[in-house]
Amino acid sequence: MRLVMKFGGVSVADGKGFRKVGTIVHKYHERGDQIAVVTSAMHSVTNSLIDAASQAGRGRKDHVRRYVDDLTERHRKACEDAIENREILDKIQHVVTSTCDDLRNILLGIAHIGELTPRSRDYVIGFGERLAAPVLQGVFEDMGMKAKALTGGEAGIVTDDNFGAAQPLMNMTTLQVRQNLGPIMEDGTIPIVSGFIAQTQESIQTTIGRGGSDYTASIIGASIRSDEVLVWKDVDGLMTANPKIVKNAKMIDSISFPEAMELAHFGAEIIHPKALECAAKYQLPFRVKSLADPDRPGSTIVSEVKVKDGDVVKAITNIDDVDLITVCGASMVGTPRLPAKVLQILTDEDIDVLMISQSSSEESITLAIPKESGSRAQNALELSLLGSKQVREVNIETALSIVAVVGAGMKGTPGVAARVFATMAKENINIRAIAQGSSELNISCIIKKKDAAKAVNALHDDFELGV
Amino acid sequence: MPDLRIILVGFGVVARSFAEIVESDGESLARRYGLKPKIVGIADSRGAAIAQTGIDLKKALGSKKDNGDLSGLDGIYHEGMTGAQVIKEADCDVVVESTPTEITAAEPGLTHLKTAMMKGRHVVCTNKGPLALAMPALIELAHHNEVVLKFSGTVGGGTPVLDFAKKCLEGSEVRSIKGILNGTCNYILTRMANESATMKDALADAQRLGYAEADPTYDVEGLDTACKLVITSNHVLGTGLSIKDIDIRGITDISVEDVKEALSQGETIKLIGGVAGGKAKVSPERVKLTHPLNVSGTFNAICFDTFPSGEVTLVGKGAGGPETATSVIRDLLEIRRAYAR
Ligand SMILES: NC(=O)c1ccc[n+]([C@@H]2O[C@H](COP(=O)([O-])OP(=O)(O)OC[C@H]3O[C@@H](n4cnc5c(N)ncnc54)[C@H](OP(=O)(O)O)[C@@H]3O)[C@@H](O)[C@H]2O)c1
Repeated sequence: MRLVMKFGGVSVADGKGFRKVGTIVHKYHERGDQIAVVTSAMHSVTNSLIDAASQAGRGRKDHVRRYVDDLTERHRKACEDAIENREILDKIQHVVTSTCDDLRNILLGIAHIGELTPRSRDYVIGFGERLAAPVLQGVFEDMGMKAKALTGGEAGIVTDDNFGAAQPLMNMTTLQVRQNLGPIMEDGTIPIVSGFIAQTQESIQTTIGRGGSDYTASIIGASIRSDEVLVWKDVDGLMTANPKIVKNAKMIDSISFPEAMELAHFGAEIIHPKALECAAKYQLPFRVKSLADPDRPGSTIVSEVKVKDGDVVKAITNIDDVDLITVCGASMVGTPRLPAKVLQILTDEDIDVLMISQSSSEESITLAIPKESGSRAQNALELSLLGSKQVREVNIETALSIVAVVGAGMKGTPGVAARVFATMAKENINIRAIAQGSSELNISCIIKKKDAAKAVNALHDDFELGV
Repeated sequence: MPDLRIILVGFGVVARSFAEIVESDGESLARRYGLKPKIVGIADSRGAAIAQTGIDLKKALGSKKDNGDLSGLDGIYHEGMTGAQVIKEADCDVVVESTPTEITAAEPGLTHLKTAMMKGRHVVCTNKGPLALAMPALIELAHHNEVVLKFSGTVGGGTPVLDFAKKCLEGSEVRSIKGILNGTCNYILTRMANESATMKDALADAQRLGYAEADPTYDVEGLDTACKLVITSNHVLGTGLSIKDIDIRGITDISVEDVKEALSQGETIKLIGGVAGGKAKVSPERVKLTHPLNVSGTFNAICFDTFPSGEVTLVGKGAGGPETATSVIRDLLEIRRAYAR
């Protein structure tokens, strides 16, 4: 089989983690699989780089020096803990040190000028992945496998120059990745690709946005036409509900891409939606695997899942802590283009809208916004809209949750919404707003946060999802 | 009217024919079409010449003829300079790529095209390799860089197969395509049918007459046909094929007996590149003697099955230096029109 294996920051948090990754990969390697590995940065490193970049932008050279020393030490230590062979250890530590020297010079350069451009920021925040890949290479070599660390750009991923969230040119990318990785994989070498980073056609480093390493895994998988992408996580797989809330939550064996995207949207993000979208397009199956228990089959995400009879709902998810903002129109005659205006204002402020509903009289628009941006959203809307004669007031209601019922079987099954409402009513839970995706893959309700756990459990029971 | 500044990468049969036209007919191109090509760079396998004020084409052609390279262009010649370097260094509007077709990695053509588009240059390509291998990627790159990528010369030489199918058949739906796309193979099969010549003799004649290369593998194994089929199918039907996706069988195992057997049933054997329902293949096939596809000698023919108009067949010479050079001129005109400044 041809496989892509993706390891997140938690799996490579320290030397022990790197070694464990080696053990897992080794097993598949022995079995005769051709493997390409995609790695994230060591846990929390990317965030620290983001911080270091902005510190540098403010001219703090001392901070930069201290930071890079720590980072170097952390990676050297991980090497020591994970690699036994002295020669390999020296070689990899040398790579780590010189990569960190490179980073120090760049950060000091930024600090010297006191300006952080999007381009130099992308260069800096990709160092975590660039450091993790060689460490894995060392571990694999230490265990007797042939391996080669590559940046996303070296692997062949080419993007536009929209720094921070660059878009791959997929046709050119698949061609180049196939040409670059194909031969070395045939030869039994394991390419280890730094996730999250890529480069423009002029070879300038870019990053591909949040959830980047999952996305890299999708891109690599699509390019080399892998049979499956295995995403290794510190969970057992995809669950019918958050096990912290629902004691008898069960693992889901198999789910479709659209369902997984709904789950991700409504708070159960195991794999980034961008990665899923790419995988769906190239019909590339994903499998979520457990780091703690590698022999479990895990959950698969595939193009098409047969809906079993009576298997209407797959999972219940919830997003805690949302605010509900209501924009009340000034007149009853309707306010053309108000919804578009409202969304534009929020987009300009970079605020996520989780759910939107509009009364049919067009008199008001209700939006669910993550709590952390709630009051910012209210402010922005008030500043732009009040006094425009279109809008009377902008209200905010806090301490709410979204509970969503997700499943492809809902499509064409009448009465699911009624069942949801009946359950809520039985539990005496008041629904503040509802929305159903036109795909009929989800029904989502906004309720008081204090009722969320009760609602999720009741729905989970009612749809008989538990063990 | 501004000059259209051009770099020629590859200075072989096609590029030299083009240079000759520019050199001898430049005035008429300007008068008839408002096209004023100015060659600012030329690269071959040994070196390159750059002159932003324009290269003396008479001298370039003379030097190539006498020395086999461009060293006669003293002062502006750089021995060992590569095509990619010229594209990076010389300022131009269009890069004309005509290096040899190669289909495993499509180099050096692919690098030339990528570099040219990265630098924001329009491209005219007669080299089939990069398109046969990586057409979707190249078109994506052209979009991304907002440049025009034209490749009329890759199929049919001077016969405007691609534009015919795309423009003249607009309004009809092309459902399938079948073509005789390689002159060498058609010459051989024609000789086998008309004179009962053996494959070996016919091939030797083709080589003597200059139709076939010293190494004819690329033609007789069907690879050249496959390249052209990929490009035509992707361009006309919007498929995203690469040559690696295609079943290819050449004509090497066809015997005189096979051809005779076909003839006795009112048919003949042709090497056909065909695509229908998203599936493309190259193989020897029987064609009715009365069908318009039954062309002889080095001619090419391509038949588009369209709805509701039915079959439309285009016949013409499939290759040749001057012929292919006219396709380059057509492509340049289109670029000039799209970017009239
Ligand atoms: N001839 C036709 O009728 C026809 C028709 C349609 C399409 N085509 C295609 O058009 C292309 C050109 O055909 P052609 O007949 O002109 O071929 P050609 O006579 O063999 O010319 C090829 C040219 O490319 C140059 N070249 C080779 N390697 C190079 C490199 N690495 N860098 C720069 N230049 C390099 C050669 O240099 P030197 O001169 O130093 O050897 C030569 O000038 C081919 O891809 C062919 O398949 C040809």
